[in-house]
Amino acid sequence: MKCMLGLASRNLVRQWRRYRLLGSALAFSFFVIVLIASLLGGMVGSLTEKAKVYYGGDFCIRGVEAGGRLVVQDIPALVSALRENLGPKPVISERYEHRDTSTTLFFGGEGIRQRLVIGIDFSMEAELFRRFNYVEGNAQGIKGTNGILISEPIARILKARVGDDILLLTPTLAGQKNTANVVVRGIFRDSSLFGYYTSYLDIDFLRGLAAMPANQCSTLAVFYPDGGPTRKTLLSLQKDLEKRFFLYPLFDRRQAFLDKVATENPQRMKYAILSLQANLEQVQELLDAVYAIAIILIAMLLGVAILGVSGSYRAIVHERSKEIGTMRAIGMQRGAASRLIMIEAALLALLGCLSGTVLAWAGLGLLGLVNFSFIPLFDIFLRGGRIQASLSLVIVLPLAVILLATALVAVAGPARYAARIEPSDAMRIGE
Amino acid sequence: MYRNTKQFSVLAIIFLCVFSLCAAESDIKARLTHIDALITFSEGDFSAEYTIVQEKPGQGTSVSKAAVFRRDVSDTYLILMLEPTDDKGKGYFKSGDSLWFYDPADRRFIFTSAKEQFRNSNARNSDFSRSSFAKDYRIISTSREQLGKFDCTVIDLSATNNDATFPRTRLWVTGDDLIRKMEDYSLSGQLMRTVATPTYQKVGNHYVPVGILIVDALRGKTIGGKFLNEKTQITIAMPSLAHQPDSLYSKAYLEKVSR
Repeated sequence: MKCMLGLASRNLVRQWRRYRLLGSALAFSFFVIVLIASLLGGMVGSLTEKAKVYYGGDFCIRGVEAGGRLVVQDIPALVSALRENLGPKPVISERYEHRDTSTTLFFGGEGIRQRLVIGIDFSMEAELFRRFNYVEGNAQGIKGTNGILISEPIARILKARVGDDILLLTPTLAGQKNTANVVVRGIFRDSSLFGYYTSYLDIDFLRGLAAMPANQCSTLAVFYPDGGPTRKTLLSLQKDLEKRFFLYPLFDRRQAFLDKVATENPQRMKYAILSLQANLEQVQELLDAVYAIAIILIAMLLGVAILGVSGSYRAIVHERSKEIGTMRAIGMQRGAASRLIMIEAALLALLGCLSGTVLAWAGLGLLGLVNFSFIPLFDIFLRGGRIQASLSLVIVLPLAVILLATALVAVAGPARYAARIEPSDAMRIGE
Repeated sequence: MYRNTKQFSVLAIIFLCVFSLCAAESDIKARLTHIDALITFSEGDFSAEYTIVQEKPGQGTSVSKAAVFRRDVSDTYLILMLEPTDDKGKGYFKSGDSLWFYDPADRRFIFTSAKEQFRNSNARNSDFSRSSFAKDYRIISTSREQLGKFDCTVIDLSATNNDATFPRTRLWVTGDDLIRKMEDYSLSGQLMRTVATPTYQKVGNHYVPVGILIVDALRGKTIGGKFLNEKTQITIAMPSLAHQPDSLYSKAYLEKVSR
């Protein structure tokens, strides 16, 4: 085997002109494949980060009281139970999501509807809101005030800047129209479906405006500083909470939870654990489309690679018939001839992977400098207007294995052909 | 004995004051009921043609026409859009607490709210239904004020239930118990809109405004350094108390007419 490796690598080095086009093609294919996979990872990562802020953490506790109103009531008991199970690291924060289609922001006579106003405990979620991509201002010192964070598109429509007093019109829980003057403290860049029509206020201020009792919230959001909970953690938490509260089973989809609430009409306070994946159901179609496009592109590239390698190696083996015949004549067995071709192809693929990885690293670095905010509706995949993608072995290694396997499959035919070359036939070539 | 007489006098004065206040409130309450009765058609049907002119500063003026049919005794109304052509056939049907909007293009009824804006104007869907100040509001205070040529009683009201479109409202009422001006406020006291109804036309034993001007206090635009509010002018013409068939007050009627 060592001898074969030496022979194969020597062939590649000595006949590099013959292999340079194929090698370049393999390198380019791997570069594009790794780029697509890394970008996909970065885009989905950005979407997930935005979704965490929007939906309330890596998972959240939702509640339903008798009669069907979505509310969380036993806040201290729930927080205590969560701490016991999860330890001190995760951030557990109360949130109040005020959804009403008539909620409107007014400034200078201009009015714009807000689909969702979220009351936040800014002392608990300070780190999360520090990471927002602010165009102007920030969330510092907003706790306990009438400050509001609005999205850049909304600020542009209202022509509002940080420091401006704007009027928030929203109905109370009982349906009565209420208004309050709020001060723009921060304008964040997010034109995605998560951020465009969403504003953030201090939770106590919003509770007062909506006449919601202070001991209630709509969600208990749980954020993990690094990574997120495993399914095992959630199942264990579910089991423990079931001993203390009335709980729904774990839902895989947010809509399944809402449908259950609508049809069941609970007679007592019940809670549900909703993971981020369950909440992401709203954008699942978008994610599926993105994954599908990536898979199709990668499959097409691999298909092209197979055809390219196969075709090129047929030609190469034909050109080297005399050489292979000579090696056969001096004692190389059929199997060895075939293996030699396969090892050459494998080494070429590995070189292509290495070069492609370096190119992808450079390409990602360059792409990371470009602000893609100009693309409509693309903001959902961006952080700070940029795609935050990075190379990782988790992405590169499996793809390298796939390309290697593809190359070996492609070269199997030519390798079999090489094995069938008879020394006498090879000697006759050129006569 | 002198002390007893003094105590009795104080109690009597307190009793008289309380009685007067209650009597005054009762008077105002009765007056509110009369105000409602004057503009509510509780004996039969009411129909008229409404012309709605919506003025949005900087965006121009839009005009629409609608046929309005009311049956206040059952808290029902039907509004059929006549103009412009794009809106022809669209309509609203209200029955009790339920209000639907019909779009013939989709052939769909969409459930909406009486508190929502009417056709993107400054009017509310509840503006077309019967008056219910006495039922939905309690009196906070009263005073007197001169409103142009009108000598008015100003009545401050606060909603007693969640059905009222605005939590607070202020009425300027003349001696004939007709509302000449109304200001609607949010729960926190923010002025939302002003409604002016300077003149009325008598229809049977009731009154219908000749014109209604609604000025939105929140929406508008600054043009030439001056803030201009959005306005809606409603003109009510051809009022009639003619009885309408029961089938008119139904969702099916809207579907049939739009075909």
